[in-house]
Amino acid sequence: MRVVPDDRSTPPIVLRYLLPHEHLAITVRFHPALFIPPVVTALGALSLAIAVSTVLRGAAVVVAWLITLVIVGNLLYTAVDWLSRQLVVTSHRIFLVSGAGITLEMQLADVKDVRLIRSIGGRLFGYGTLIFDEERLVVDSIPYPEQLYLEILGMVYKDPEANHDD
Amino acid sequence: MIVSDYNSNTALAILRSAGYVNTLLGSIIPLVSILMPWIALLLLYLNQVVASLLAFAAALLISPASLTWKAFLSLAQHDLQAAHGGGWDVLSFVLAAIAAILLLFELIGFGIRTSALSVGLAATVAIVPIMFRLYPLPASDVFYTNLLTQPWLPAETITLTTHQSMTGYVLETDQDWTEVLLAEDRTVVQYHTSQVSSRVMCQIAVVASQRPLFPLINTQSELPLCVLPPPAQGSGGAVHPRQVTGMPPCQTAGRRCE
Repeated sequence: MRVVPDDRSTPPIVLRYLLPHEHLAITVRFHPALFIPPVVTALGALSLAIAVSTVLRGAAVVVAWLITLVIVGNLLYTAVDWLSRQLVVTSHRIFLVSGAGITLEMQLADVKDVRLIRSIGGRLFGYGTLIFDEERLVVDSIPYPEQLYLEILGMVYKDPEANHDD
Repeated sequence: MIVSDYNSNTALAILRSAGYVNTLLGSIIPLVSILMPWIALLLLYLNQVVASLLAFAAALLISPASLTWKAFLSLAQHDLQAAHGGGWDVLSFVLAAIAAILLLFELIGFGIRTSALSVGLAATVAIVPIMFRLYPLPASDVFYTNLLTQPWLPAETITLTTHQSMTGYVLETDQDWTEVLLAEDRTVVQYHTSQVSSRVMCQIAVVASQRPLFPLINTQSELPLCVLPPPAQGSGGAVHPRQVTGMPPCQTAGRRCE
């Protein structure tokens, strides 16, 4: 499966960082399995806050709910961050973009090797870790890892006989 | 300064007698046990799960708690009996069950470290109110004021040859003079060492009640409570000490003058 969006589906945040002569090849959000830890924490905190509210009274309950609010806030932050973070592969470079800007970048021409690692969790939920050039760039929680791996590998090791107009 | 009751003369006298390093260490070490529960909480929020667990364990063993373990259990039982669920407990249980199922996935997918952090962070919702009960906030409770005003030296009941006894902290002693920080008024006085007939370690009553939740050694039953306040001085036959702080020097008989 090719994950090559057209310009209409490309997020504006990605378009903001593209050079005029650069062609967008891949843009993908991180795997939603990233939500599992903050969701577990938030649900656990909510459960305990309700339990504490039925047992204790006064300042202790206020403190318990304040902490829960912070934990739920962290979940919301994770959601907002997930929406804005993208792995972008163009004809010239690979970079991670988020609301804060480009956080990691590597020239495609500099990539000598690409490795794909799939942990137990990755195999369970369907994500993987791409490692470029001996951990010079490590991108975790990539969805469709095999497809993306092959796609990127195909761009790094171009077929010399291929037509460049494709 | 806290130990000297904010009297700079007494503070300087303690510093001179006990030495800079001892004073510095003596001031810092009690703070470690007081702040340990909050350090543990901070470590947890900084993703240092193992360090946080060790700090919590240390806090249970060394940090002075406002309740004993038995009193705490009794209070918890009372609170549980007085619980007012009203249907909320069902919601709490459902949320906990969903969290437990997701935690299982997290454990398989992300490993024990991430899972432990999730559990730890969620648990702080219950831990912090309990901590407030056991370890009141240092800035807002007299619990720590009593503790911090106690010097790092052991309290002693000092009896003189005239059967006069007082509670204090021996800052320095040599063959000629014994320098004592009196517990009651926090003045530093010197006695002729030959006039000190006995020194018995004791515990100040207010500090004796502030013990860790799980004290490893039960010294409470071994040490007697200190005698407070000391008997009035200046009566016939009483030994007059040299008062180093709190009054002009060299005005009382039997003192060393410099």
